[in-house]
Amino acid sequence: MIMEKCLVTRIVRDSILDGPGCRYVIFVKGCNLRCPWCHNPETQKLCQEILLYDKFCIHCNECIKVVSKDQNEFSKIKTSCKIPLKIKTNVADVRYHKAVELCPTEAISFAAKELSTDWLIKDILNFKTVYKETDGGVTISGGEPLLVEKFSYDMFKKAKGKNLNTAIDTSGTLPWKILKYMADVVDLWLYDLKHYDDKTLKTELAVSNFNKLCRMGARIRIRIPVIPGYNDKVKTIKNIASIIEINKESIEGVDLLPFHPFADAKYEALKETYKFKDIPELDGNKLIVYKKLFSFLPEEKVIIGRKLVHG
Amino acid sequence: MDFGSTSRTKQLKKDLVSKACYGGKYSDGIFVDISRPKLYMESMKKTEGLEAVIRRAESLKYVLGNIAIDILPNEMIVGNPHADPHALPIFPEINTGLLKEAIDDGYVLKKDQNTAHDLIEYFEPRSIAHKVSDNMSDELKEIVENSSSFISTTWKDGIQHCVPNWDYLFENGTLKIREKINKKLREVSQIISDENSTDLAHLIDAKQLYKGMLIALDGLECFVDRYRNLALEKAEKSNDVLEKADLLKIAEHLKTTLREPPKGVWEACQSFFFLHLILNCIDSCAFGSLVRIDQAFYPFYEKDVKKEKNITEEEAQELIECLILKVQALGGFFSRRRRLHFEGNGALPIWSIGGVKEDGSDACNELTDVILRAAQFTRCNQPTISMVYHDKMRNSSLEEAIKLIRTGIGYPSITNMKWMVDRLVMQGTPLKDARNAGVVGCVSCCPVNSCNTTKRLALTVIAAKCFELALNEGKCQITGKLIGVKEKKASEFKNYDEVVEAFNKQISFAVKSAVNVRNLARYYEMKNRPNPLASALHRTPLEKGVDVVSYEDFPNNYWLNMVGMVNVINSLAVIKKLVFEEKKYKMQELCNAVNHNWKDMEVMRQVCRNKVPKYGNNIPYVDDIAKKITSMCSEIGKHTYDINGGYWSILAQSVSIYKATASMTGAMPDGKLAGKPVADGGISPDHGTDREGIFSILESASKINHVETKGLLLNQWLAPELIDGREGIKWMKSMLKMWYDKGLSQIQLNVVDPKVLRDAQRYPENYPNLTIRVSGYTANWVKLTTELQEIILSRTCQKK
Repeated sequence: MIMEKCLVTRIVRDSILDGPGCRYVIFVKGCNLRCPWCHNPETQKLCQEILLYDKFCIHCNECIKVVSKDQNEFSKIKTSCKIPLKIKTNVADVRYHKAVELCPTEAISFAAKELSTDWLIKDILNFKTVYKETDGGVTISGGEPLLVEKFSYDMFKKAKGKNLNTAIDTSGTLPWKILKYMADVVDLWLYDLKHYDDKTLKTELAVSNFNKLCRMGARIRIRIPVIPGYNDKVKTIKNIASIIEINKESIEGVDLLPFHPFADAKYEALKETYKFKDIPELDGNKLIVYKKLFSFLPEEKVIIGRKLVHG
Repeated sequence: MDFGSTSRTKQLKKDLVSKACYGGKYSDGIFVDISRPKLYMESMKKTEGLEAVIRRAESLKYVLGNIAIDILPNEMIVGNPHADPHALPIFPEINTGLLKEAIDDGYVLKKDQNTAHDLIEYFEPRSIAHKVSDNMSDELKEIVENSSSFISTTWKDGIQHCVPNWDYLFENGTLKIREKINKKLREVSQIISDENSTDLAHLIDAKQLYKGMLIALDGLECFVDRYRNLALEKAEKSNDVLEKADLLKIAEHLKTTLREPPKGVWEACQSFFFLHLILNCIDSCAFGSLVRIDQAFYPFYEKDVKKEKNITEEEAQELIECLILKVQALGGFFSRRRRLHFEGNGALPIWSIGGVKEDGSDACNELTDVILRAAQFTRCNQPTISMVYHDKMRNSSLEEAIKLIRTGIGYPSITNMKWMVDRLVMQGTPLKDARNAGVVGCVSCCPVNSCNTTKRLALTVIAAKCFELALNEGKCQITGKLIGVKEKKASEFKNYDEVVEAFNKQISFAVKSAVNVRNLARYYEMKNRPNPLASALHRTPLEKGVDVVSYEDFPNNYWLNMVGMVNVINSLAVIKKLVFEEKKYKMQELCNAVNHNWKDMEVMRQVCRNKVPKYGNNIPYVDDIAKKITSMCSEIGKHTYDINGGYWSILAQSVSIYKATASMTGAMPDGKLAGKPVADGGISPDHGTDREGIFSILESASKINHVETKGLLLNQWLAPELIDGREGIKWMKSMLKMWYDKGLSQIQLNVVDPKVLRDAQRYPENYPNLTIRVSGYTANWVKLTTELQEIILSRTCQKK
């Protein structure tokens, strides 16, 4: 059997925000969407990336020794960078890998690490007491887990082999056959419904896949990131709610996630511009109005702000 | 916010006078009580020529019969070391140096100064400290004074953990105990005069001990009577109907208190407090640890609340709150150094709860829940509580414990029942005694029926300092003096094993020196400071005719507290990887950088900090080193002997020694800067080096063999939202179960939001009662020094 591997940006072993009970959460790298408010921009590209954190730089100039001067031009994106590497790093260039190795701090680092499902399941089993006791399990988030479907499938299969609950955190915007393939090994779908007719973010596909999943009898928890200026109109949320209502038998719950701009530092590390940088954090209390739109569900199933990290 | 579940306990909490020190100082108004040592001296002068045990008994009786007493407003549980609640006990008979410090630091009232000087003059040549010092070589004295590699001076502060066998006392009362003693006394006297015994020396000692026990019990009963008379007197004078009724009730209860088995919860609490007070604050300076309070008190709770329904559960809770508040009010006068080491607390009394019974079944009961609820209301920093956890615990007790942790008070600390039993059995304790065990001091385990807690138990060895010595031919890098073994230069180390060997030599030397000093103190304690009262209240001293201070019932109860082990482990990983494997730096190069406190070597320091695996992240490379080094230190302990022939175990917890030793430890290869504190807690990862979350920390810590140690403390911070609500309790329960399954010995959980701590730093007036755990005990946050606050804040908070 081929051992599946994937670039993983982060592991959270004690999450209580990503599915039932205590969860082992794997954040995979690569997403088919580019939501401008994204809180995990380092998970967007499928390939490895290099992060530059100015605040850790101690100006030792070790990195510059391996990258020749001519390559080290000033970037148009960010000129205030204190790290000697001024240009957007090129991950295909091995000299940058050397720079990561030489940097004595975390000023220059890889965004992700390649991990195998074998390594991950071994790590998970160290802590299985907690996942079992809390009826928790393994969650794959990202990024878009459906984009690395073989990895995700293999990971879940191994987890289910150990009687662990599996949850996938997805936007549902890939071809139906991938979702269908994954449905075999997924106990719970943490499913984004951010809009009902946004072509750029393929929400129509998300809705149609959602309907199909429900018809298959899948268990689904809906996630609605409430984004200022994008979907924070009552009408928009009402439309999303009506899509959910039709399938309410499949719904485990709905999470209304208020926008927060805390991902700023990550965009800076990627030397990318964060369009939502100056948008203030959304007060969870303002979402109470929207909560009422889901009155077809028991009150305790609609939660505000359960999940802060992922968008 | 109001504390206390009733108006009475709310008021008692408000009126409480704290004896805790912050920044090395006691609060305003606190002074040292000279009257107790003066009475002690008077008695000692009168009894010259008599046996030590009789002199000790007579002096106790004299002190208890004459010391000023008072009953404070609203009290249900009575008793004070002195009529003035601002008075701190001091014991010049152990160490006159402390009294000198007290005078210099302005804690002796002007009117008492002449007496204080008389006391110093009288006790100087007679004190334990003097006698110990007299037996030390000049070299050893010098090392002890510098004390940067070990601290063996706890005997100077007179620290021990003196408690009776509670079940024995509660079963019999002093009247029955007297009968037993009298019977033994008659037997022994008869053998001495009638038989040609070869055991004459022992028999005479036993006879004197029995006589001493009876005198001490006279003193104890007299003390109870004095309080009874005072209550009656006060009732007579009182015009307040409620107050009068309270005082009469107290007087009524005191009629039989201690003399007979307790009638209910009140008598149990009052008996407990009187003895805690006398043994720990009047007769000696001790902490009064080791009680499984929910076990000791349960028969009376069951009778009073469940069967006879004399009082309600709420009333029982109020009594427990009163008792907690009385314990909270106690303190001692400590040396300047100790005041810094134990910032925030007066003494270290700890109550054990939970655990299993002798047959292995769950020991939790309704009283366990009541005690935990009482503690949620009183929010006191002493006594702290340790819950002996096992996976079949009464659910409500476990949930109350989690709720108490959730208040942010930092206790109960959790002790692993399985580890404790395995550990004690491995040392030769019978299984039923190993099950009937609790916690002494901060983390150490001991059977509750043991006499061993009355001895001076702990020694502190600064492992981080010993590592510095290993790299510098035994020389302290701060003073330049040779304080270890003269050994070869670091540049001559040919491989990693030689570095480990050098560390082994230095730490062995520190351990040996510390133990030698402590053994001298033990000898003079046994000879000069027998404890006839505690002896009377234990089963075995009566049976064997041996004083509790000399008698060793369960094997090997001594521990070496290793401070800064994690820095040593991380430093060894750096040397192994960068010097000997990758050959990135030469040994000399690294040592130079360290000895110059990384001056102009920031790149190297950062490489050492970030490019070598750090303990606490579930990385085998460094976790293996942790396992090996801990075992190595255990071996050293096993070959170091107590005066009675027992060996020493290692234990790791730093209290706030990790901060106080900062100025004495230099830079380290793991990237630590000179003067910065070592890792806290014992086996908690170093400040900010844990990246993988609490589960990975547990996994790393589980690689160490906990059973061969006397307890390894893991300190963790949790953000409150992680254990919020029902789900949070569920998470916490499962985390504890996993921790238990992994065989870790002890965990302490701080549940405080760093945002709140920051805010409290800025606006201390808004948070007068914010309490947090400083590895081993609990302290008031706003009173801690900014320096210590910053250290605590820099520890990684397990936050979502």
